[in-house]
Amino acid sequence: MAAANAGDELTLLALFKEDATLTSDGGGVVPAARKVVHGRARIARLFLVLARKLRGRLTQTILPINGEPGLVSFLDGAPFSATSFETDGTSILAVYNVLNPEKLKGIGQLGGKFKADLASSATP
Amino acid sequence: MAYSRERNAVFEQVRNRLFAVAYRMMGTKADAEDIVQEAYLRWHQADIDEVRSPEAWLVSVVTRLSIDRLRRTSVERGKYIGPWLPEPLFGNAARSPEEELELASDLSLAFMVVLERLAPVERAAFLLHDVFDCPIPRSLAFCERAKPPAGRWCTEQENACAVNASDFASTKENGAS
Repeated sequence: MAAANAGDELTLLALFKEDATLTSDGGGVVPAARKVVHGRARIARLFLVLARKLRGRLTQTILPINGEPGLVSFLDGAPFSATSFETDGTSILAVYNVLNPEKLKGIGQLGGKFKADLASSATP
Repeated sequence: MAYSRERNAVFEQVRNRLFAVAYRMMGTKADAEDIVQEAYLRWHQADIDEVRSPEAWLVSVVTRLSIDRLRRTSVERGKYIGPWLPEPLFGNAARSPEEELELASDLSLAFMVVLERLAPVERAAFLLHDVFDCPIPRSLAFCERAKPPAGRWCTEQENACAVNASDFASTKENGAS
């Protein structure tokens, strides 16, 4: 994510397997890719464009998603996306990006400890 | 009264496991919670003397309720715009280590996406195999027998269910190979 924010395409590319996929679920409610994105070049470009477009409005934090480390993003302080990664131990095989607000309600229901974590780890 | 307290205690012991099964079947927290609640009601109405293994009985009830509900919601799912992903579960601070262990069975989004590609009955068969460690052909046969005509899901089915569930219980006790 730091690489995306810094616009560092090469570092970003190196994180993914050549044939990685990105699946986004916007539920038709929020803008999201309606098809699975194939290939790391396209995925990297998507991340870069998104980072540029939302610069200064996005905060991010690492949170367990379904028991595994995931990335939760907030847009202007409101839950925006939950991103899970499938890896082979070294590189990312698949990215699952949940943007449908209906499915992000769980973020608001997190207990006190996580609220504190969120406050301290989210970087503006 | 004491009787129903006992039932409650038994139910609470397996509640997390039931949730994990229902969640992996349905892919949303609300649906999974509904189904666990429905199983809770059925558990309190059940003829408990017929039930050899409460856990097996409850898991099979949850499985069948899930299959039933998936059949009813398949049309809505078909209309979903763009790819469908499960509703994520966030954090784990609220859970004790035991609960953590209970849920440690694979809940990852990647695994759930694979499950989502299976038809409801196949998905159920796979999860039963996972929970009870019984061979897949056996759990598949069990789930196929479970095909109820939609909406007709009551006493006689449940009795059959109790018997079949004990099938699983004995499989597990014998350390199924």
